[in-house]
Amino acid sequence: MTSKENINIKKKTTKESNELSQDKKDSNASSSLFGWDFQINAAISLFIENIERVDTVRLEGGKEDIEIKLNNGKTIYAQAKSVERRDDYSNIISKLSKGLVTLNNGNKEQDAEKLIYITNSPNPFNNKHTMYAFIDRTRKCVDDLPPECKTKLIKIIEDLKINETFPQELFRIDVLPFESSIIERYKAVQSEVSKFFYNLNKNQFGIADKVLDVWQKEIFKNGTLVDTSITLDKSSLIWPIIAISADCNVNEDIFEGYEPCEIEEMVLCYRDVINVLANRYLFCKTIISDYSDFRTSSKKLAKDFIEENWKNYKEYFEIETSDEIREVIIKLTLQKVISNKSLIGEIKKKVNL
Amino acid sequence: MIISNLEITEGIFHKKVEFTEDVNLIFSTNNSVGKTTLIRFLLYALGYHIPSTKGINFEKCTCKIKIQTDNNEYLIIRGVNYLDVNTRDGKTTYILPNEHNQFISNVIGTNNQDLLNNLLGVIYIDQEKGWTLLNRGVVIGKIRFNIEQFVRGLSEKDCTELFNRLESVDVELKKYKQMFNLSEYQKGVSHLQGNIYHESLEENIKKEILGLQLEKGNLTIELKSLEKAINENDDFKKFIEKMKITVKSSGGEIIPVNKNTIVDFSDLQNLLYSRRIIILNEVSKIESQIKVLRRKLVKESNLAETESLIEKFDKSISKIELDSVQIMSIIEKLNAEKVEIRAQISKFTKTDDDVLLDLHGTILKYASELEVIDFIKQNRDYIFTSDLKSLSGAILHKLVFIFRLAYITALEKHLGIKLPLIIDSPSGREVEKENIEDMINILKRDFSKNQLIIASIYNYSFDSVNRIEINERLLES
Repeated sequence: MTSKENINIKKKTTKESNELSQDKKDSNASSSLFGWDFQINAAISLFIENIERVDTVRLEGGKEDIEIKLNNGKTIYAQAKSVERRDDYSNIISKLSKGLVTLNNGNKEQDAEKLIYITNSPNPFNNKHTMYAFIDRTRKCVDDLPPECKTKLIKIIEDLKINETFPQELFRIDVLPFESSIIERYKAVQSEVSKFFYNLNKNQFGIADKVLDVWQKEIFKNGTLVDTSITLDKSSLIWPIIAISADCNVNEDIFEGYEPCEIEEMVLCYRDVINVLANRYLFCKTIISDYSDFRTSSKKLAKDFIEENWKNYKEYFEIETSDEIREVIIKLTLQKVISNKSLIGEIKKKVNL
Repeated sequence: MIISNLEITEGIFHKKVEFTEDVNLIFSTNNSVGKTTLIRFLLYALGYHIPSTKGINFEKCTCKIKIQTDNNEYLIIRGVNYLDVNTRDGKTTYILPNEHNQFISNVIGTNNQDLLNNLLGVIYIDQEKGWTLLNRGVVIGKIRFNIEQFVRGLSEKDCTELFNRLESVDVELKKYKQMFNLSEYQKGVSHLQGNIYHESLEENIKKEILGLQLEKGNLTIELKSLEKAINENDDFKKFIEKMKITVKSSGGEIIPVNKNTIVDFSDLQNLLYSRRIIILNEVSKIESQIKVLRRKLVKESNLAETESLIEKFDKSISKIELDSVQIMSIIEKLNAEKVEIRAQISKFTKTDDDVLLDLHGTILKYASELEVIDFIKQNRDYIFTSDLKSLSGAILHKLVFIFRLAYITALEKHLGIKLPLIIDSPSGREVEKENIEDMINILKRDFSKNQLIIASIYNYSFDSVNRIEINERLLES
């Protein structure tokens, strides 16, 4: 081989190795992003689970991946470890080990309500015989684990030499399905959000997706703040739910003689008129007070209040339109104010805000 | 009008020919020495657009011609695109071809465009085209003769409006025919390639962007309204707090009225703040989507540039909605309208009995003399005949001669002047010697006051002839 050929081969090899190194960097970048995304959604899942007791949420907290402060002064600490390929079990045990160490360190002040290791791997103990226990969204305390898993866990804790400090009674392993494919990725957490709204009796079409979107953004934004003392208030996560639910709220029962699509069209057409008044505190307060007095005196429902009293508010609605449409707009606005008030109270109560 | 002389110069070659006001015979014993060329130089010198004969380029020659009328003498120098005309009144330059009729009009004393446009067809019979031009056709080159125009000219009838209508119908017809061709092309393209106009990806992306921009617009309006409401509520709260009002509960407790104690105030504001965040998120999402689509659009546009011209053309054509049935229907209507207008023009043309009678009379007279009367229909409209196929070579030759004599007679009567008659090769190929003699006799008898310029290889029996002989070539050094 000539020296020139040798040089060419060297150049090629260097080029290939640079490409490989770049590929590795790209792969590392994608893994990081995937991991970050999993962390955000794991936080959402844990938040929903504890929504009534949550005070604040923080991603990438001072101690752990997820820190959820409760209203009893205690904190749920969680380590979120993901795998891009759910059938990749090569680093499962090392991830679990690292998680246990970090959780143990995080509980030095003994303020943990729970120490959770949350993963998307369906085989957190690298034992295919125990995978049956981790199908779909699972939450397993130590005592709920299959015996082989429990034994392995205890062995790992011992090997890590943290058996004396690690509070097994607080520990839990969670599996949250989270695929690398974008289409499948959020299915499990979307289901949790939908279930949450179902329990609130507010499960309108598309609401869960909107709320999840807002939560992911808010939690992500907070997690990027370097100062870990800045946490996400519960109200920051709950008010978006209320705002989104309020937007979807139209009770068609009070509009007899109109098709739902006609009402929808009027809402769209006169959205500005309705919102200007429904967003104004003085107007809202007048309606709410009047309605409250009406309820006290007659025990009738909102539908009756609107039907019997809409004419009293004509002066607020100086719009150039027919009388029939004006009547519908007034009623829609009254209905919005009253139902918003009711919605706010309902959700705040259910989530203990 | 009399042609006095003609002078031709090409480089070192030169020829000057003098003409008399009687009979001028351009003669050679052989063919192809330049007789026709000399005649054509005459017409070229008078400003007509005449095709050059083989071996000589008229535009490279300098031509001077002198003509005389009752009122004036014209010395004309022909340039490629102009005539310099010197008269007693001075020098005038006429740009050719636009001002040629103006020049002729000055010479023969009429402004009638129909007569001016058809003059050459009356006074000149070309060796090639002339002897088959009866009443419609090519005189020489692109110069044509049309009997309807000529008759209208003699009758001084104005059909301008009808001709304008005809022209406008023609223009429209052309356009619709183009459209029809396009629709046929479109069918062909569809047949070969299927309907290639499917909304292109580019257009879909643009529509999507527009939709998103509209959505963004609506959200922006809502956001403004929301912010206004938030500010108004805040202003109300500040106003109340400024007043430092306090209220007493039923238990006697003094409660200051502020944002924390105004019932439902915080709830409403929190709702509005959250709604604002949601809208801002949605707007941000839409903006990202628009950015992605715009990048895609740029990519698509770049791809589109690689399309071939034909592909682009076919795509554009496929988009046009063409109803070939409707177009065809319009074309038929326009054709019918055209026929109608032409019929009106024809009717209008043929209504002057005097002119037609005169022409027909002259034709009958000479047809009888030249024994071709059986071929002439008796009605005066015969002058407009299109039936040439039934006429044999010799008969047609004579009829052409007869018709020309009728034209020149009528024109001279109308103008009140004498015109030259320029005939190239009157003998033709199929006409017998006796018949030629008869034709010459008519000229001698009835056209003795006209200047005759005849080109032939034959000697004709005129009493006095100015013989212009050409030996080997027209131009000599």
